[in-house]
Amino acid sequence: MTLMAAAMTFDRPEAEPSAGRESIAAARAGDVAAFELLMRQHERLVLATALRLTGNIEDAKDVSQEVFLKLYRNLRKVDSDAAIPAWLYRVTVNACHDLRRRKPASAPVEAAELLPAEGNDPQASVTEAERRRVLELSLRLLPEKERAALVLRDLEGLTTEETARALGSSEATVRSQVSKARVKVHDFIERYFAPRKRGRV
Amino acid sequence: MKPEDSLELLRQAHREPIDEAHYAAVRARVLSDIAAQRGHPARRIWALLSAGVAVAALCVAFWPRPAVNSRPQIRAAAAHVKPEPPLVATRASQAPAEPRPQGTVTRRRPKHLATGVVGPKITQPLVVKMVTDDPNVVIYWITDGTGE
Repeated sequence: MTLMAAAMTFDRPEAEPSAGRESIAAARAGDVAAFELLMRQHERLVLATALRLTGNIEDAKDVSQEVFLKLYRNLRKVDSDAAIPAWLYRVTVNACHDLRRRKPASAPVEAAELLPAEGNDPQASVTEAERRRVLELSLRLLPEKERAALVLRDLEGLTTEETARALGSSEATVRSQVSKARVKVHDFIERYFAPRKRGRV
Repeated sequence: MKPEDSLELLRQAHREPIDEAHYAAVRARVLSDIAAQRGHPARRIWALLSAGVAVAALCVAFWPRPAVNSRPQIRAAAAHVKPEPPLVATRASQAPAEPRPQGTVTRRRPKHLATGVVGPKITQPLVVKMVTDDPNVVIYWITDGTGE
């Protein structure tokens, strides 16, 4: 249930669970319109996760396409509509991992001190674009497994148990990865805004 | 800045909505792939059907027809006639070569013994007197019965 709740916390409206059950039953029977409805219910989950893990929208779209085609082919294997989000998270993480193996990340992240901070005050008014930039750069800084753990646990709001299941690792490993990732991200953000702070002082 | 603030900053960025056009693009790509996949079985069925029709037409064209009466008779008559074996094969089959003796040694008799003609038998010693220019020198050549 946490997965469903997590999926519903964001801006896109989610369909009723009963509608989900009906659409998955119809999609299993081969109804393409029902499958499209199912896609609409879960597309934010897949695309946003893929975007955070791959770092660019084109790769995220490729991953999303692959994930939904897999869902279409494996609809009969998914036990219930409640199991779909967990299944989607796992398949999305694996698809991003496969993509990264085929196409390694191009540019390494630059030193945070050399990146000019565009906002005036990090705590008060950080612009939307700057927040996005910080998020993108700090995630790019992390190793792949730590990034996946942080995205699922802290950004998508899964529990440690659900994150561990999605990543195929133990809860202890996930806790350790999330902890390391949080420290690295915090250090990065502090260094990112440090020049501007020093300038103000 | 506290660690919680850093995380909150990231969460805010993550909550920002993604452009609707990206979702629509993904949906369109997935649905077109599904349509292509669903099209495949129909095309396969059509291909199988047309292949089946072609095979049936070939079978009808080349199916062995009921045989005419005269044909088996000709075949039977032809079956009784034995072709004359080639000459070389006949000779070879009638006079098989005797196996050559192997590992035996033959000894030939001398010609004069084999024919049975024997020269004059010398029983007494033969004396040949040779006179030279010198009246004082006379050579006597005495041979035994074998001519030695």
